[in-house]
Amino acid sequence: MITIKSKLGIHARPASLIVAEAKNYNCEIFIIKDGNEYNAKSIINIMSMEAKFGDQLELKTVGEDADEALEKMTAFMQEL
Amino acid sequence: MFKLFKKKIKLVAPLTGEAKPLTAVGDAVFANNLVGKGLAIVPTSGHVLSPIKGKIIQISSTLHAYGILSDDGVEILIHCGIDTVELKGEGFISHVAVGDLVNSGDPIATMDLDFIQSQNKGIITPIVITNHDNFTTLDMTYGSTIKGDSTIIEIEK
Repeated sequence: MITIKSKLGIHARPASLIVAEAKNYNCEIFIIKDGNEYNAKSIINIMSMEAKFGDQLELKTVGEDADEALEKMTAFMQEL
Repeated sequence: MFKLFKKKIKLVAPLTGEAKPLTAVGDAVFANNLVGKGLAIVPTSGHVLSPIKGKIIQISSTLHAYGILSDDGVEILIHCGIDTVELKGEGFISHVAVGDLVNSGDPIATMDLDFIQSQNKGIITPIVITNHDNFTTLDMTYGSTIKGDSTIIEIEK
């Protein structure tokens, strides 16, 4: 579980950083919020999630480097 | 020969003002194309129009960022001003809802340029193609723009 620490939530800048990090992995990466899945490699998809300060997110990764991506993306997003 | 049949997708200026490279934005995330490839307009009026025919796919709750998916599959983000997320919606009026179909030149939003500047936020507005990986060529045209009229970006599939 990832809790959003940024007071302004996930707007364009953090969304762009998430995508840049996610593109390091070949697997599919989804961010799950309130049961809905968002593509971590699409800025507009992430922005449409409207994640706010204190919101809780989960990640789902599917593909060859899924385990590594899950671990590293979780650590990365916790520091946003 | 085949080039004749290649379709060029055109984006018109959503704002009247001056189109500049993203490096003029003064924000590393935009300058380094992390949000997408495109340009930025320093507006002289706050009327924001759709640059292309398509569908509104995202509107920030703070009304300063609009995502449009064109009928040709181009994903465009119009980010009205810089650090304007901090204004929490003040200074912006949205004229569309998510899911709305828009034509090139339809009103999307209105920015209160005086208010935004009075809050020490930038009015320069990046217009970026967020799925630029899907296209081969993006040609930018810088200089003065007239909203709904001047071509600012030409894209080839």
